[in-house]
Amino acid sequence: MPVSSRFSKESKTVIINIDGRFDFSCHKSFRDAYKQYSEAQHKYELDMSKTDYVDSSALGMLLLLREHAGADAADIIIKNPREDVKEILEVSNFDRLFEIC
Amino acid sequence: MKFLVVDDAASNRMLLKAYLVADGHSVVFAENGEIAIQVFKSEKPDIILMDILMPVMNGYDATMQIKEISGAEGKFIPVIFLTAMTTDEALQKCIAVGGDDFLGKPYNQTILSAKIEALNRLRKLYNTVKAQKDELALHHMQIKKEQSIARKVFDSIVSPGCLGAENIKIHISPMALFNGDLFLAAVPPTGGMYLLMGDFTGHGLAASLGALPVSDIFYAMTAKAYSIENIAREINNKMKKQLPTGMFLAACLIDFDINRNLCRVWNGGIPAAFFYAEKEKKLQAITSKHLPLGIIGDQGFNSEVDIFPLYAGDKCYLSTDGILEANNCNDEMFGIERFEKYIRQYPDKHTFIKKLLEGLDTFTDKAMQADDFTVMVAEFDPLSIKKMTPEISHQYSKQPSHWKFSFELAYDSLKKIDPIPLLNQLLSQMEHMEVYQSKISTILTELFINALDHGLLKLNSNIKSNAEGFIEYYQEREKRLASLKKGMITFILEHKPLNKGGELSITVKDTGEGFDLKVSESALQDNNKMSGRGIPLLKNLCDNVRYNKKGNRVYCQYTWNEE
Repeated sequence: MPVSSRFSKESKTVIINIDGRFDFSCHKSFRDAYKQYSEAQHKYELDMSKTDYVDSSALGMLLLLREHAGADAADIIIKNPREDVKEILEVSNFDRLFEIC
Repeated sequence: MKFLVVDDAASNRMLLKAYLVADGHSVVFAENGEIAIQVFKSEKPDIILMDILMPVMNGYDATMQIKEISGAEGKFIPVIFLTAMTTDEALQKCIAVGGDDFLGKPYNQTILSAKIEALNRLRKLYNTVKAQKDELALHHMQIKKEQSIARKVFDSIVSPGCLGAENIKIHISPMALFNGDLFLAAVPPTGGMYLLMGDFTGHGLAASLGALPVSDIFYAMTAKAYSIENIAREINNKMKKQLPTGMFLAACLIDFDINRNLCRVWNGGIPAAFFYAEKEKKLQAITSKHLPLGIIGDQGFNSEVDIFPLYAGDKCYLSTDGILEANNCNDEMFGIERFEKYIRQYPDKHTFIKKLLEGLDTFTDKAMQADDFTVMVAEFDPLSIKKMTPEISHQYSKQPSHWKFSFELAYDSLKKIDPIPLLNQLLSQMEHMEVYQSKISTILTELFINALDHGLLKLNSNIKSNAEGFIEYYQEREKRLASLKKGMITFILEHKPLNKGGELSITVKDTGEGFDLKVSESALQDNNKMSGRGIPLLKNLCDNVRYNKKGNRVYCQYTWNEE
């Protein structure tokens, strides 16, 4: 299962793990991963430590999550992306829309 | 279900009818193969029970013909042979001619019912699969149709530009439509060249839908000489408003400004973008400083551009990310370093693309077709670019009109508005003016920049004597403009008809302190300098250029003949 998610009660955060390739084939599972939690939930943590690759449709999916989570009010952290994944995020300047650490 | 029972013996027909009616089926009959075909055509039964040995036409021949007809109609009509023959050969032949099963005489009702049920299941499965296959074929046809529409839209999007220009070498993915690559180029009326390379998130029809507003804006605004950052801003707004979240355009816009010898670049999300200074053999990455287009609203849009001094032979290299992501057998990516290495090794625009594609073939061991990316080299070649500047067409039917207007812009407006496109638009409405718009637009641009940069902002062109200073100049310009607290620039344009043609006079005033004309005049002598190009250009284009003593008011005269 490349995309999995859980809800942490203590930190009130939806934690989504993305393993392997993050591309168009994950579209449905990624959507399902964040849509199953309530709309009011505004905190998200994407664990990308095991993400090998992101393509532009994955970037599009990140933007959809951002919109779902309240657009400019969204609180989304992208955690531990690998160096080459981080580079792709940075070329697109996604560090301005998401907290990457 | 409706059965067709084919048997020459009436007793057999009656027996089978009794069985089948008892199971709730309806039955039609035929006494031989020939009649069976007729009845099959008129009654359209669901299952056929077929005797073998009959007069006129036997069961094998009838079955072959029936299967041919039903096959052509795309239907599955099971045929069960009923036979007293039990030789292997006879039974094999039942299946060989297209039969689906056989049953020995005398009949056992249980076995017959079981075979009918099994074949009926098969028939239903066949019909379901067939219906799905038909639906799939229909969808496929629709997709093909949509793709061909998308292809037409896409081609018409790209065609108005000047992709075939001598100074551009490009490998466009034949799959551009499907992976959302977009490349546009056009010549603004002020001369020079604008280029846009983009990479959509979507593909297929979605990408061509997105490409439509992008190309419209690009061509329309280029034709009005808007700056690339204004074009990028407009595309960003339109995309943000019209396209769904998640769809965006990573794009790099390039302006070869032939009048000011600048290469101006706005890059949002294109990873492989390089500028090569031919004279110094220096390669610089054009970093992506911005979010791709269509993600954030206008307020968040950043119009900052990178500026490089531009000489003949300088080149820009751009590629969509497909090339960087090409994998070899060790799951290694081609990457930006290899791309850069090829530029250093083969900077020439002809060899670069050829060598790059060859190198990629070797790297991926031909596993990847050169299908999945677009790569471009654009060389700043002033001669070929000048040839493409929109030429003047001759069609004078009416007398030129006589008019005059003035246009004043105060410091706060100067921060927000580029007056040149506004003036261009106004002039394009004037009789005959559209013909000279390119030259007039260049003259206005030069006059305006002089008034703003040197008049109001008091910038010294000498800073621009080397590449570092060059960048410093433009940074300083931005800073001073942002903090400008007073000042005004006035344009006065007047047009008078002459005997055969007309005369346009342009006066530009600023409220600055003026400048020392002598210093500028001497700078003109040195053609290799990066600065001081404005005034010789003006003298070249105009019949008359006069400054007042103070240097804050300039008068230019431009005359034209009907010849």
